[in-house]
Amino acid sequence: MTKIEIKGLEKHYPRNGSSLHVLSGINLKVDNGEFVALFGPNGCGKTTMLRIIAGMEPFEKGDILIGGKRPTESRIGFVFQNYSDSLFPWLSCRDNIMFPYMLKSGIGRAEMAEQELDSLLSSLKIYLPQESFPYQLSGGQQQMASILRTIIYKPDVILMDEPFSSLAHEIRLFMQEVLLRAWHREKPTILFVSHDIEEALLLANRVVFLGGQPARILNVIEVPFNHPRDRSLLKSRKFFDIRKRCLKIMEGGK
Amino acid sequence: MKREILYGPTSILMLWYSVYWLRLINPLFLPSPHEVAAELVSLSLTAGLWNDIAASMWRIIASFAPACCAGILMGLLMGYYKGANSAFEMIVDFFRSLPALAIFPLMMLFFGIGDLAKIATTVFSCSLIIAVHSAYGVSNGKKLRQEVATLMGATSLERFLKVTLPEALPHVMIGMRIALSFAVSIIVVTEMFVVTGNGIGHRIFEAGLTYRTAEMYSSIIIVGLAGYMLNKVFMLIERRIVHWAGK
Repeated sequence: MTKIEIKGLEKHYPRNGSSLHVLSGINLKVDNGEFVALFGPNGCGKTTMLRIIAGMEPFEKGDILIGGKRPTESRIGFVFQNYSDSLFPWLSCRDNIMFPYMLKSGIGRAEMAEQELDSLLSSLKIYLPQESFPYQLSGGQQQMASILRTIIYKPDVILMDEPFSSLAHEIRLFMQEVLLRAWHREKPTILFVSHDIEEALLLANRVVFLGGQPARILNVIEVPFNHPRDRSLLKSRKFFDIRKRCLKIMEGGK
Repeated sequence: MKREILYGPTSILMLWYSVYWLRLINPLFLPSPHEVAAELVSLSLTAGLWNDIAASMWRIIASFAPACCAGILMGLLMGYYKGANSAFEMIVDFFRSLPALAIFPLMMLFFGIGDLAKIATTVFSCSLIIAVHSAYGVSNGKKLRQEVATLMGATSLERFLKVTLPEALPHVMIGMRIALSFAVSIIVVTEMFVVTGNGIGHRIFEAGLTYRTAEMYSSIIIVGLAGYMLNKVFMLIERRIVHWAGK
């Protein structure tokens, strides 16, 4: 079943009186429970595309449907790259995660969400100092809280905008593994923006290559590795081969 | 407590003693530190001093509380509605640039020579300070946090109450702290203006007029200490409430 459907998307930005064509002729279908990575060089329009899908950015032409509905009518989970600005520093870590249930739209489900959070934490085998405030947490812990907040919200789709790019290498690997476990457990539909090909291949079932100016979809490749996956995949021969194939696609796109 | 913080007061005391012993200033205008200290002790044993402190404190609180209410309300409106900000920014800046005491005679015309004129002057000046800081806090909130709340289905009222307001709070508190020290100085000075009858400013003025300089210096020290302590207490409260500020 298709969860995200993008048809003929066009996006321009006004710039110095004229307009800058950012995205052109984007067509993409993401199935329910699929983990898709959106890969491309910096500044190519990946974030813009994600914001359009989230309903945060207007576009000129095309159609976007999430489970058959408009983005503004759907539940969108969004994990931002800037974790410290996306958390609320006046709330404890746990209250940050439970924030969607502090809103009127979340009334009645809070208790279930509390239990859900506890079981999620134990099954993902992660520790978070829940009574601490965001400024007392490490970068990785802050982003973890923001990811958990998104999962707990039970959105129709989860959009992630380079969530690990400002974390140190070791923490990034750990976070990627936790995300893989969480996806394996819950099977949410995830669209994950990355400019790191290894990350895209480790996480996703499909990698969509975005490039050119205006950006269009250059290629889509299936990632054939079985789940559950972990970091040992990065050292395997087949990973090396598929990575080489991807690098060729990127060179062709220039 | 660090030992360094005693260096400042100690050096001032030493300077004061040197000036006194070298007779650089007539002791009538600058008595010795021990004379002032003795006066401070004997004054603190009289009911008169405490009545004056209480009178001034009452005026400060009676002006600070309404200044907070008006200032925060004004600031939130100005920060939230861009239109209100453009409409009032110039007026607020104009009145803020005006020395508070410049409008005191005007207030006396309206409210008479009693406490009301002093309080009105203080409320007027302090509420503007609080308004400017509150407006800054509201309009400089992180856009991303608003987007997070919107994506999770927050209504605009929920966004205001659960995101905008807490995010503005550190700036509101800074405005309140600055306004509090302003309130102390405006009240103390306006107590000198017309025959007030009581208040610590009145005591300083009277002591100066009648050459009771030891009493004048001790009263000045009391005002300084009171202002210092009010500020410290407020900072402690501030750090507890907006514990995330600056982190």
